[in-house]
Amino acid sequence: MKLMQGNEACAAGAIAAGCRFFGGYPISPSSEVAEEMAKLLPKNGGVFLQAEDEMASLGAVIGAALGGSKAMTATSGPGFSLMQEHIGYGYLAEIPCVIVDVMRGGPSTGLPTAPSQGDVMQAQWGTHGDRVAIALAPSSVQEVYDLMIQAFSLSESLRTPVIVLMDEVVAHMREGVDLTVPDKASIARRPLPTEPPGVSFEPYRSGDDLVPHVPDFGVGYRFHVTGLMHDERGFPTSNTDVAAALLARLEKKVHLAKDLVAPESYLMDDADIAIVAYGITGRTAKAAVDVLRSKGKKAGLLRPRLLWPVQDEMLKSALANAEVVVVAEMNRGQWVREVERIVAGDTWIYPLLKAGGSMITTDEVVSHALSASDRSSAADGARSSRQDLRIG
Amino acid sequence: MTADFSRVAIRLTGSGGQGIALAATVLAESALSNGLHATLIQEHGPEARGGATRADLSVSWSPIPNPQFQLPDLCLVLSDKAWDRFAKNLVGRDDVGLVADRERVTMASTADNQAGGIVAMSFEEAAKGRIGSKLVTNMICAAALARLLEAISLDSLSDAAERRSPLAFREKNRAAVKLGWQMMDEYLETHTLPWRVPGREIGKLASGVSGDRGANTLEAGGSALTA
Repeated sequence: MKLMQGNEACAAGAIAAGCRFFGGYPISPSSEVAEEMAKLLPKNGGVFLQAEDEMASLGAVIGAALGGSKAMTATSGPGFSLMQEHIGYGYLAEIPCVIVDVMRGGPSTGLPTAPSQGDVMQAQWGTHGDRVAIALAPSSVQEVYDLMIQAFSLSESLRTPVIVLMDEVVAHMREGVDLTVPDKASIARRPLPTEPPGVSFEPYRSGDDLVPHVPDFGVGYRFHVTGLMHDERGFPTSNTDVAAALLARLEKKVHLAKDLVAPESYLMDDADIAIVAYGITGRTAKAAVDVLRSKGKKAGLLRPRLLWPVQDEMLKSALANAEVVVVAEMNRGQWVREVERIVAGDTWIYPLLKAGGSMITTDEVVSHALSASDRSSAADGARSSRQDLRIG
Repeated sequence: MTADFSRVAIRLTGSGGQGIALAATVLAESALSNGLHATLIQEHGPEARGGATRADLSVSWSPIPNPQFQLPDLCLVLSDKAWDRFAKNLVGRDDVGLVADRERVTMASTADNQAGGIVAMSFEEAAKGRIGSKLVTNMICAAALARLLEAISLDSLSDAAERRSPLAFREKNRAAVKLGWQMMDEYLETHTLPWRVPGREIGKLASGVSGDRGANTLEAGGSALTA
């Protein structure tokens, strides 16, 4: 066990996953990721690049990824905003890379070192057009390490940008980490073409796996990469059938991630009160579940590790028997909308929302869950109501 | 299976620059090498560069679900500002152990500290007088707290302090750890602690001595990260 900060474990996980390029612009509270990568990459035969801003950073990452590197960047809200255009580009051009966003209080420059979970919707909707995000949310330093490795695996095997959403607490917290390096076979590498270069080669053709076998630049294939709608040759097209099919395939491909990342489920089997929370709030909620159980309440925790794409079916079945669903998050109400979309009409939803830079406490979760439970039993019959509690 | 959420909650407070974060890091690291679980969260705002700041360390024999707590079991105070912000409202509680620097904290400079429930020790004076640098005060304090816990060995603390020290301070920090340990040793021989010491029960933590101190104390106010 090694004592590490979340941001240090993030860098260690990236290196373990084979990341050899970092392009970034340091910003609190993600700066230690850049600092660590600047130390680790040269020792591991990689390249660290500090760019002039976040747009250039992700541009460099995309270039390195096309050249065959496993590549990443790390930023926080303001920088994440600047990266949105390139994130869309990476999605449409199917470029594997990992983007770490350590969420701080926003909007704008907001609260640089205070915790928040305010970029959750941005991770999915920040870039324009019909694009489906993959976003992971770790809740411990160990999980930062593990999910960074998984983020690279997902991005490589599905050829798509993967976002890791940390909150400031997870990023700066120190905990023991087991830095076991997974065996090489379990770390995916992007699928490469088996056919030789030639005029008939089509880099963006895909088979049943839905993933095109795009070669790395510089190994003898001539091909074209674009953010315009393109055909299987990689060249721009305005053919609406081709564009529609491309969007459909990309969405179907990214949805494969839903079966690859399991949530943490704690005492959910007989839970009347289900608490849904992610990141550091998931830890708080877990402690609250213990307190509620000690008071004789059947409470359970469902902590998604994958926020996007939303695991609809998993959530629906996990929450089917709950009388009350409490969704706790450090924002003014973001992911709760997804939970509401999925279970509204079947159960009561009681969001516990706190924005402004401080953590949700165990006490707050406990008392909110207790009052939610009381109110729902008093109002038997009406099952589709939502009762918000906003703190601060 | 429910998680065992017994743990000892230790809050280290002082002014930015006193090395609070490093002392907490060294304690956390040595806790790990003694087979304990540890979590450490701290303030990263402008307070960490001047105002009153804190680091919240939890140690336990079992995994720690929630790294934040409102009410500490042990609270180290190294400045007046930190006293006002973090310790003032804890005076007189027999379930919170206050340990304060006698010279830096006005409230700890009186003769009847014991009556007020404060363990007052001259950490900074010892650092200056016996090691030759007040910069090692943080390591003296870390060792004094570790001595109270009785679950972290002197050797592991010494090693952690050395690993985390710049080259020029390795020897001094090693000496500081030894000194802090001795100071608390002597204190325990000559005094009865004015509070129940949940920390000293850590050896029995598996039976849940400490409980979840974060769970029933909203009145302590604020959250773990911003008060």
